[in-house]
Amino acid sequence: MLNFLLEPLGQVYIQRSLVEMILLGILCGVISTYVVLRGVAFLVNALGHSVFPGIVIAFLLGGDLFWGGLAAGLVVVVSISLVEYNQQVSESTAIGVLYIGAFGLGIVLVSGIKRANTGGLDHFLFGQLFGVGWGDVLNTLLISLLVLTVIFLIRKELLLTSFDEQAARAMGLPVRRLKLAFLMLVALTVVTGLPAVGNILMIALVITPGATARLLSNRLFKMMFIAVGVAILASLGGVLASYHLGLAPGACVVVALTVLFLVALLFSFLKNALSNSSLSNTPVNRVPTSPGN
Amino acid sequence: MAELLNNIWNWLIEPFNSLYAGSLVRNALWELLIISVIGGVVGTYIVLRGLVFIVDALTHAIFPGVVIAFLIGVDFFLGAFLSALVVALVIALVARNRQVSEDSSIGVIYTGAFAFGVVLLSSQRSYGRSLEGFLFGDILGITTLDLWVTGIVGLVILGLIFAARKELLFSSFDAAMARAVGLPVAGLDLFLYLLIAATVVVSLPAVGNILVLAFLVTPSATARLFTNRFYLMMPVAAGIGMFSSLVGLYLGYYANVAGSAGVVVVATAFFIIGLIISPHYGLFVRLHQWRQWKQRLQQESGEVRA
Repeated sequence: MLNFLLEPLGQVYIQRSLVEMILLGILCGVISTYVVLRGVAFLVNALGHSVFPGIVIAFLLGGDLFWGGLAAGLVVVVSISLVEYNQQVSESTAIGVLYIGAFGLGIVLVSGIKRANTGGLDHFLFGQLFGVGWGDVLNTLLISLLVLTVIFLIRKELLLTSFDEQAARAMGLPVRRLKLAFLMLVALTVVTGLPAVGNILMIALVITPGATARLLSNRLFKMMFIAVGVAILASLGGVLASYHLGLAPGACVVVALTVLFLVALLFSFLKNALSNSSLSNTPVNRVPTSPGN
Repeated sequence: MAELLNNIWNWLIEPFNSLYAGSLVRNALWELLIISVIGGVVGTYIVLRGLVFIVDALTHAIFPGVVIAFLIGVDFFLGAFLSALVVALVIALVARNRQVSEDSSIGVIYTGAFAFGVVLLSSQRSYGRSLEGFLFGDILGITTLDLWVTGIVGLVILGLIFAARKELLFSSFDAAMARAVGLPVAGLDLFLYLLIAATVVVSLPAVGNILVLAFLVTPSATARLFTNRFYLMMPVAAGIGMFSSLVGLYLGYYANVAGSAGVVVVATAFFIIGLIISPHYGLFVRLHQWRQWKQRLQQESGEVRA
């Protein structure tokens, strides 16, 4: 049993990918808490898909994939917030159309490249967790510090706009610009995880830990700690499973995350069922609900 | 002049007449035209009901079913349809929980299902190729049999929608009223989801499970920019889809890029043009209105001063 756990840790590439995943887990745990509270999962999904053409263009020009992906993410964030002004097509339709269009553009560009030197589309889309180098890890560390610092600095504004947008506007906070800033932080997070898990699975990492934590707690800071813990636990489980079974590592981490979400869901269902049944037995609940009686 | 026209004509028909690829491109065009018609009709409901994210989740979530069918050697239609049903049920169940918003639960479930598909497929050696086939389809691999299947399933879908058109329209625009009148609104929603799932599954071989969203949603969203009338949106959307398919195929043939992704890019370009020139809410009209408003304001303030 102990060997089962320790044997993979002896491998340098496993050590690297674990350090990378733990850093990403901390970053995504914090970000995903806000994503879930603000209910912007669909926007995040769009963002995750639409960094793709940027990566491909950067690859074609021989530039850094990171900057390409980040630029595309920012372009999409800005254009989506512009399209929000159009009232004929709903926001979700506009988001869907634009992101799938951007994704299609990425595929057109990739298919234009001769396939021999791309190493295949799947590396762009799903990353190579076991292939990350110390450079990638350092990059993740720096971006995490940057994103977390910014979040710490604007934590009060973020909290208020997440829970009560109208009050925030009445107090004179720049609600629109704060939303834009937050989405840019999400874009930065998604791009940081590209080498390890690719853009599609990063979407899971910036939604699922927060959603799991939401099931288990109502308090913001407790949620963040739970989300970070969940992300790190899933990373460990996913990497171990992937090592022993020879399966795609990034996808294993996401499956582990989803399993933890389902367990938390079951737990919250049971808890609600228990508290409901005990409530219905208390006299308080038998008090007639309408004051007229 | 005649020579120029002749050249253009040759350029236009070459993809369909070339010795090696001609029959493949012809099949591809027919398949895309059929998908455009189904997509135009089904997509109109998706856009008006604001179901884009749910459909997006459905298209991603079909992936593990396709992979399982592939691994155990069953027909992929069955796998895709079953996994669409399972995911739709799980999302409906999870959405009953009030702690996590519906869109977060959709996001969690579909990314999880998608990753499960990737894990399953990665148990095969050298899975990169087949992964791309599932995700993006193979537009030039469409056989005559595929065409027949798409055509017949398409007719069934359109026939069912035609039969239930009044109920669907009513429950789409005013669910509360429809419920009060005694229509089975939840049943009608389920019926619509099943038809959407069938459309997605039948489009899979040609366009794959990620880009199919664009075939369902983009032409209808563009049509919405140009008309307010429900039944007019459908033919307009189908027409935009068909034209995008044709242009996209030329793009694929002459620029040597992935055909189905080319169609998506062309359709998206039409949507963006629509955002700018739409007669009611387009960018130009908005700017014009704004200028008129400013002028009137200046005039009025002038009058006040005078």
